[in-house]
Amino acid sequence: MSDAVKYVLRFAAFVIVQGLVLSFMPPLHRFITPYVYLLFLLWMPFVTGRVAMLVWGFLLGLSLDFFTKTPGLHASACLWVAWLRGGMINLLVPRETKELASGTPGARTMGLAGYLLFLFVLTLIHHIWVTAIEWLSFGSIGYFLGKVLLTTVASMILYLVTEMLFRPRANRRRKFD
Amino acid sequence: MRNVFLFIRRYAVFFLFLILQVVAISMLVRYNKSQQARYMQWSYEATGRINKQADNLTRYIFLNDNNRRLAQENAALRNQLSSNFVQVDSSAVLMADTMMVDSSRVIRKYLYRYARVVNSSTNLQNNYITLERGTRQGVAPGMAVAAPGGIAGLVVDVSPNMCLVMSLLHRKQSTSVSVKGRQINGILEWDGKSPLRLQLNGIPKTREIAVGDTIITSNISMNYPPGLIVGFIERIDKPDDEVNLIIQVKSGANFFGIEHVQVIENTLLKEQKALEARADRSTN
Repeated sequence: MSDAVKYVLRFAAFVIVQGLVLSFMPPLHRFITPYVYLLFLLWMPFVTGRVAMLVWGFLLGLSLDFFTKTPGLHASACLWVAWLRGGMINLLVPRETKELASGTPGARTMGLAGYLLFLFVLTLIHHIWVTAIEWLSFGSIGYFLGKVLLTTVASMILYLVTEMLFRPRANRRRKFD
Repeated sequence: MRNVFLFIRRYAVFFLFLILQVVAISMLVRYNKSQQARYMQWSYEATGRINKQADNLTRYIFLNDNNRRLAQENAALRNQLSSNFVQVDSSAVLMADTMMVDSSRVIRKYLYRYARVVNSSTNLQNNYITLERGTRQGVAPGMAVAAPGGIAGLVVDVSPNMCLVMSLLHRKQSTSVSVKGRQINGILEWDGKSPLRLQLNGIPKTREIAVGDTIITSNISMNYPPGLIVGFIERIDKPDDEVNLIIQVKSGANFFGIEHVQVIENTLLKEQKALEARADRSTN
């Protein structure tokens, strides 16, 4: 399967799971809405151009927005993630790994701690932005912090589950290195 | 000039980021300003179709509960049938030939149309319900929507085959309601905190009111027929620094498993609005 087809299918899968299932589940708690679609952006290869990242980010956010009836909200947050991802990778990944054509962010290429930090920081930024805009005109600081933190933690758990389900190869290889 | 181009070239990615960010934010602001942003319409049709497929899958989960609710709803509606009509009092009208006028004539005031829910949300700040019924099927903005068990919201936007309903779980909705049997009117709103609880505002502390009272739509509501069940009082707080009671209401409709609703058209609404607008004009 060519890379382009793979990304389009993955894009559709993430948007549909997020837009039809996760965003419309009865809330687990008033603070927690699980987000998993962000993994599409986070899993893009290191060599993806910054312009391409921005365009993917905008399209991903906008597609989800059509399901949640909030045009621009997630698109705007995804743009931040797409924009800041490059800087995070520069900080966390050695140059030689980064230039591998097949390199994608993962525990194998970044180290477990680095990878978790990468996921956590970018997800936190996404949730801060979404929650800030949503609560701009109403709500208190306690709600804001609670919702940002707990939603981030819930997303992290979902990421790990998705990781174990769909990317077992990366983990296995690390064990035998 | 060359330097300007160099500058733009150097920061091209940043400019793209800024431009896209501005596009996204302005879309959001424009959409939030008017509840009826026209340019979203094509997306209702597109996501509506996908949602319909997904809905077909999930609808079996709630089948049992919905059947029970629909049966109850049917019974309630049969009892209410006569209240859908208003008697026109023609006794005070001077007529040259009374044979021409049937003085016992009734006219239909409320028209109920069945609609199927294809999408709904409960965990956002502004929640909407999408119905598969649009202008081609007679829906217009401002019509009321009732779910089995209680009212659900108001139609705010329509496309040819879909319509968008502002759910009771919406920060900007406010509904005129009254407490059944007590003749107390209040405003039902939502503070965006828990989708299980709505807030009834505007009732002073001096009024007698009890937990468990039924909240119904009031007779001065433009969109809702009077007497429809809205919900039940769950908790009453009497804060020292407030004039009004803070009342938590459990909604009668189950917003988590909403599938079948009735879109209610007030056929006399236009007439009422025109009359009231005329009064406004003449007093100003």
